[in-house]
Amino acid sequence: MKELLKQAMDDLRSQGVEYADARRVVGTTEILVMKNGKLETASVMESRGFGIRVLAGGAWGFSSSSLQTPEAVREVTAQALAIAKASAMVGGGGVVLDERDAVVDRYESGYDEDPFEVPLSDKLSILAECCAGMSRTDGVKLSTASLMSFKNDKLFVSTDGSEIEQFILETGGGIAATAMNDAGERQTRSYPASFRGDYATRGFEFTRSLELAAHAGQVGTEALELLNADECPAVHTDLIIGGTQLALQVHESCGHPIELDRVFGTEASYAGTSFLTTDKLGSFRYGSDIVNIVADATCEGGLGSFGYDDEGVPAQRTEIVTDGVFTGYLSSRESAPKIGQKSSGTMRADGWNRIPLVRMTNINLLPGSGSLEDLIADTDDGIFVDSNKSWSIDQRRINFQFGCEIAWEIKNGKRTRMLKNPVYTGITPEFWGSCDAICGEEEWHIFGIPSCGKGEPGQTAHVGHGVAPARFKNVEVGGKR
Amino acid sequence: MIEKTKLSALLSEALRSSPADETELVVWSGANSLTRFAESRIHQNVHEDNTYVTARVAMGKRLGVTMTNSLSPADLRSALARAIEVAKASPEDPEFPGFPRSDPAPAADTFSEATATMTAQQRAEAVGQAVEIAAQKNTTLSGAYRVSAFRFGVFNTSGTEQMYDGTDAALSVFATDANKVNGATSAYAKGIEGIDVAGTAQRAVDKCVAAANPVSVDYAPMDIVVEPRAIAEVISWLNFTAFGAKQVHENMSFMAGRFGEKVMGENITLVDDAFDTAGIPVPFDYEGVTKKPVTLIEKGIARSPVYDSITAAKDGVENTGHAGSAAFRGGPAPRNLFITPGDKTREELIGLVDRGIFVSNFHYVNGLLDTRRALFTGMTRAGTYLIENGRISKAVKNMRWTDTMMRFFSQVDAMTKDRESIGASWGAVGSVTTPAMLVRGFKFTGATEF
Repeated sequence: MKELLKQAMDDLRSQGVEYADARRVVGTTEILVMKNGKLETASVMESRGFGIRVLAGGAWGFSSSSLQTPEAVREVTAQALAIAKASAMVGGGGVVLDERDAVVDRYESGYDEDPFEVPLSDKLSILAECCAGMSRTDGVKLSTASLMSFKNDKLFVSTDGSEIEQFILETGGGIAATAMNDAGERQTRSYPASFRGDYATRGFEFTRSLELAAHAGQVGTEALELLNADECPAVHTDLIIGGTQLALQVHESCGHPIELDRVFGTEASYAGTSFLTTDKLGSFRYGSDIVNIVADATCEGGLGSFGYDDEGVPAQRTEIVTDGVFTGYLSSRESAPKIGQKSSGTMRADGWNRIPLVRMTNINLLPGSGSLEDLIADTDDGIFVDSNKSWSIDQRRINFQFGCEIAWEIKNGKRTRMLKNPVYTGITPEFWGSCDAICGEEEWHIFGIPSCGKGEPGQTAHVGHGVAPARFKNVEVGGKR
Repeated sequence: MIEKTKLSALLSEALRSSPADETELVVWSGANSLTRFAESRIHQNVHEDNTYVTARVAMGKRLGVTMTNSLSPADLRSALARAIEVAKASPEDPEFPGFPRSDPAPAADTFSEATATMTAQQRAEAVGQAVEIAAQKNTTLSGAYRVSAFRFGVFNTSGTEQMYDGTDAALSVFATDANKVNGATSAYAKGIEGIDVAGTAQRAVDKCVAAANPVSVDYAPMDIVVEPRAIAEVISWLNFTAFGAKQVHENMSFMAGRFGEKVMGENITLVDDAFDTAGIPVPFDYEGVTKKPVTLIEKGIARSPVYDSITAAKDGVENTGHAGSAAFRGGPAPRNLFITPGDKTREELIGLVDRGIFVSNFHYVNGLLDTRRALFTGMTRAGTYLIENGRISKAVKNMRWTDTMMRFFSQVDAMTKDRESIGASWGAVGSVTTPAMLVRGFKFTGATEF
């Protein structure tokens, strides 16, 4: 297949296109979900194919096929070129890419234990133990345990002469207990994060390190306690956000708005644009002085780590917010030159049949100092929330509202009563401007989110967020409505 | 798209040679094409030829599922072998009733030849037409024009053999003026014959022009006149959290424990009818079972969720033919939903409001705050106006809302007699056909800067 795709690049070059690339991807996904000890999903999915992207007349065309034959390569190549010519009919193209040297390389993500080689019976035993552990608590009516593993074998070639092979292995899992009462109320508690857990670009050793079964008992207990907890009050107060929730806060209010293609309006009709317009770069106060955020695709094990993006650009670390000031974007070979820069290497595609888009890598809030207990001890009056339950943000990423699984009241430096149904809301730059404390390295962890959506047709990216719990002043917190 | 008799022969042979106790093969084979535009320029333009085969096997009551995108006999054998391996390692599912046998679905009007053969150039010409309309009002356009053509089939060892050819077409249009004010709308149909490109673009541009110079309004509960696109978005979320038997069994649905009770206003009747051509017909489900009409809400009273074979067996009721993909086990879900219309025009709805908000679109709705009460949040977007003394008076800045959908659909004072079919946001062929509504006391809970 490599030779066929290289021949396609030669053919396109001889036809005078400005640029073209081709990707062959073999992707395998395993999903295991057990509920109340009964296996709900046990599926293995494999998808193979190739896609060719052509820049001709300053406009893009892309075509793809699951058939990997010489005839299919010829047909897809011709289709991609024809589509590029059609694109140029409206708006006249105008796409210019940054300059790149050819890269010939192979990258493999590190792992100790291939999750696809772990016997299925071992994985099912873990899930069964988790369900049993959660169900030991009376009142837990639904115990859910999930494991997912992903394997991607990619080949990239381009008219620039690049030939890059990548093998990336990802794994992880999570548990959730749902308690219900006779009144029909239900409360869910999860570990290590909601919506199927935590994931990393590592082998099954990462999944084992989560020790899901060891946390099952506490998850079940807290789900039941939530049923009997007081409602979170509606107040303006100091808010401490735990890591699993803060990861999503970073994702929605920082990660998406720094996608430079979004800034230029490419997602306007779908999930929207961004308030971080290019005139703000280098001067806009995004957060308080202690807020430092980087996009780092080179973090070992981060779910947003890789060797090269899907334009063949090496993985990089980019400063996004420096001492509270907005300083950088996620960008591509097309978008970066528009602001006089080179690509930050974040173009990623969800498989062979999708074009690469500017996507998050690991968007990390750098740690401050101290433990979570230190931070709570330093808070006279506040609320500590964690674990996401719902999320919503406006089309420019300014007004947000998050619901969380759980909260605790903080009084005089101590975590006191548990609160249920917490919701908080804010305006992004005001909110990050109110950040007055971030916990240290000992609390910092990269949470992997395997479900970041973007684009039409829809694409799902695997991204990471390194965070430690942090405190925000005078936040609007609400309870049940 | 693979030829029909060849596909039938491949699947039949794979079933015959399967060593599993029971075998089910679900195939989708086809092409998706999408032209995306922003700032009045085509910036993404893609085509995909693909085939998915989901192989589900039963070894006794142990189930295993694999998915491959190859139709070669060797790959099908390999997929089946892996599914058997998974099944053998899995615990028994005592509720598994066996793969269902279904009579062939009646013929339905599901295919448009012009859509299946539409070229990138034709899509570009359509987008160009829309962009010209926008330019006349000094606005730019973003959006997407998507067409799909596919062959979908389900074969199983219980004797089910179903196959149909389908198409659909969707156009979204989002107009923006020099001050970044927006207006948006969309069109969805079985084929491109049902897509009014010029009309859809004009509506988006008109909304954008009317949205100029928005003012802030104090957020508080207010009456709203809400258009079908916004209603379809909340219905799509209810599809995910409430309307399937699995969500009812897990007590996630607002309808759980409330069947026979009033959960919405008496003027709300919600039906799933797969063969109603006012929407997009979907003749059978992912288990090959011919779909049956289901009344979910009748005059405000919760009547029934939709079922697949496993949930129907659990409840001892008839399978309604609403299974989803076995690879994900999200449970059964409706695909072609209809809300019974009212008797008003859009202008008459507006005329019934002293002071309120006209909502064209919702944005980033999330229905997970409290699924038992269907407590949702979201934003307004791209066409939000103040209604004063029965008339739209000016544009307003967008607002956040947080409200329960049980209350929302209990406070519907009037509906239009005309309905619109909105392409479902659940990612598969399907639609929500709904009138516009006047909803009293909708809870706005926040504001944004634009």
